Amino acid sequence: MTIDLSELKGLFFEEASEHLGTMETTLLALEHQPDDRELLNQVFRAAHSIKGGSGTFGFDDLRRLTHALEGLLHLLRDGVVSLTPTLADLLLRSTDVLGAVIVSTRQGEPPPEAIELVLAEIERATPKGAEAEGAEQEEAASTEIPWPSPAEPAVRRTFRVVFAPGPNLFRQGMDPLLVVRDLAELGEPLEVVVDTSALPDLDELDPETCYLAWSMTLATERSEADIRDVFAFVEDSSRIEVTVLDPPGEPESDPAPASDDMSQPVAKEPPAHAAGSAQAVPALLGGGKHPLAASASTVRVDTEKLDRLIDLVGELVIAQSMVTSAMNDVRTAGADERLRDAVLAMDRNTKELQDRVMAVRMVPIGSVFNRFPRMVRDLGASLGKRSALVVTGDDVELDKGMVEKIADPLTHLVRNAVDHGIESPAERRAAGKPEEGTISIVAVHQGGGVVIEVRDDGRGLPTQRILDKARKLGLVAPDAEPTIEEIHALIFAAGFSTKDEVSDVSGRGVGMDVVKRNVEALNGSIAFTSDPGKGSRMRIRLPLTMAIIDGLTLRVGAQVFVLPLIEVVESLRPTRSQYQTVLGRGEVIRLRDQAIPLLRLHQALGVPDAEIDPCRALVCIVETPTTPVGLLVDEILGQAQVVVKTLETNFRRVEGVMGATILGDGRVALILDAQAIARKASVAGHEKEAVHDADQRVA
Amino acid sequence: MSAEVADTHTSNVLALDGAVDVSAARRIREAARSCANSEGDVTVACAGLERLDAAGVQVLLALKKRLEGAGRAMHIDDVPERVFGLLLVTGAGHALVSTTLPAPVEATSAEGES
Repeated sequence: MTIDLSELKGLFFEEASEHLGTMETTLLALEHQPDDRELLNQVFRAAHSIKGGSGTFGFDDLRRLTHALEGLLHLLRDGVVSLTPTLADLLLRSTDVLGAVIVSTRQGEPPPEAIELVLAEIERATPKGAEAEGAEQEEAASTEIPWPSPAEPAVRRTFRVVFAPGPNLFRQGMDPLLVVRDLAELGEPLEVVVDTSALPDLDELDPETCYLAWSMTLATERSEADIRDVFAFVEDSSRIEVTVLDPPGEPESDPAPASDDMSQPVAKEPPAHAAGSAQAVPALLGGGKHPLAASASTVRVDTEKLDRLIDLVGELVIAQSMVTSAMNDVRTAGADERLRDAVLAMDRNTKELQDRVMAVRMVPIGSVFNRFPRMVRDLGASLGKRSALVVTGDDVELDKGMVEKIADPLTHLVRNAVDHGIESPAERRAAGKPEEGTISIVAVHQGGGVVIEVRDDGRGLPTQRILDKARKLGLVAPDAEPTIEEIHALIFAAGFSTKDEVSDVSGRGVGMDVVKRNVEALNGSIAFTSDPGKGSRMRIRLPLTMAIIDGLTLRVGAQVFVLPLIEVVESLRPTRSQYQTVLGRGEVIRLRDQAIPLLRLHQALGVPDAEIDPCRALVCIVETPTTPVGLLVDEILGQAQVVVKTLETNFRRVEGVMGATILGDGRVALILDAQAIARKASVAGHEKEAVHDADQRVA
Repeated sequence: MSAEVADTHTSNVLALDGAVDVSAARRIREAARSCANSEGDVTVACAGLERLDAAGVQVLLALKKRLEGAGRAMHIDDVPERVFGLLLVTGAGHALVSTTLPAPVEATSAEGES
């Protein structure tokens, strides 16, 4: 057997980055809950995992730093040092340096100089006399290799592990369930049995005394030392037994029944109910199929392979759509019922296959949100502000590519919220607000897409100042009186900033236009609202994925177009009384006391022979950052999922068009970018008004 | 965290809400005793449950043991995905439902045979 070392190293770096993320998130939580031992355990385990892999691959700088961190965390755990704000800062800065060392190691470059500085700081933070213990731990830990050694290919073995927590474990702040979970994560748990024999009657049960014990049969490539390491923080007060059931090199044996050689007090429950054999459990717990009933193991797949698979499914969707369309034509001529049923079944299966493949690329948006607690903390400190971050909906899933691309725009919005939005503690006090400001990030599913909001309870946007600045820059005519929404939309103009001084954080006049461009590149939209003195809200709407979207197929003249369904609020055929022409604002549709500008798609797209009477055509209302806009179309043909093909790859980018697709009847249809079309029409309208105004002045 | 006990005509409902951990275990035990001292089966409603630790699990196990001793049953409903994952992987899920597994349904028709 040969091992591809570069692949293993790649895997190590990926996991090291994940562990680093865990360390940072957990350290931030630990700052607020310094007595939470489980949080401390998590940081320790993450550092330890990185150290183990580093040692295996000979990444000495990484090993040195993680070892030093681990020593400090040991002292924290043992109460030798306390988690002061200074120490929390040092630990967080150490994770920053650790991240930089991971990157430099991956790229084969020398480590950043900061590694020596931070190592020196860790040494200073370590009380004299405590190093000896740390050195002993180093000895012990150096034999623990959680990564398969390239010299000695990993061997899968089966262990029997008994864990009988001491009665006082709960009082020490430990949860044995989490220890058992960590153990299970080391490999494949073939059998997990909870021993309840010591459990007294309900009336006599002391809720703070632990009566349970566990036994697990675990198949793993990890060493016995790795297994024992899981119990590092509970071993003093618990009974731990680790037995190898099959020696290395021999075929795996079936796990022995739990009662065979189990030492007391474990193994009184009936055996053979491990994680892998829990199919019967979901029906009782949840009343139906549960996603976790399947194996909890994961496989890392190169995203390129996934993309190719998705392309292929896209082609299958198109082919299926063609078959269905042809079938509909044949059916009218009297087709065989069996053929019709077969096509319907294939249609269902294709749809399910598509959904499942798309789901593979879905990741929780929390992976982006994770960076913000640290950012808000550090920025607030550097600006002398106090702000808390509240995150909701971090489990909302989006396409992996979208999650990666939305990270920078969101980062910019959060930075802006701290820098521009939240006031200083003195200002907030004077305004009758709590000294600590709140920034909220909320993600929710809405209408087949995802809405992400970044809100703050700060000073809000200075509307008059924006207007003054916009007039100065010539973005608004001196005598124009834009609406509040139009003024808010000005912050997305290129180079616009109301901040007089440039700070390290923001206020350079670049950013919001880039944020908007980036969001729109994802076929999303961004809107801004603000309440002076009370705060601001940025609202981003995104489709779930860019590969396949739900769309409305529309006819304009003889052309068929697709409009992303996420953009469409409603559609209607206006009555004569609803259709009006407003001086200076052009054609509008009156809907529930609102005048919605009407945009004739046939004019915007240059399509001949379209219906020109709005009351005989249809209007699709779409949201834009400033106002809803009605798009005039001849007919709505239906709703369909369409595979998005980019024009840039095969042709070039076209303003107002986000891509093309192949319809079921084989025709190619352009997918419209309603936001861009509305923007373009608005600009053209303003230019026309400006020329008209100039003409009037000349006359 | 909160635990509510509601009587219905056919069963008692122990509704768990929020974090059911060692700090809440004493209240859960009292709520569980209240259910155990009534009549009929008990349903543990977990829709609002956010976290469950071993202290919470052992109270539920003790309730189950008491009920089964009296020929009654404990049903656990609507366990949130995150909690369910932990129960499943730690064997606690099975311990909580093990003796109440229904008998497998026998296939009664010859459907599918050719």
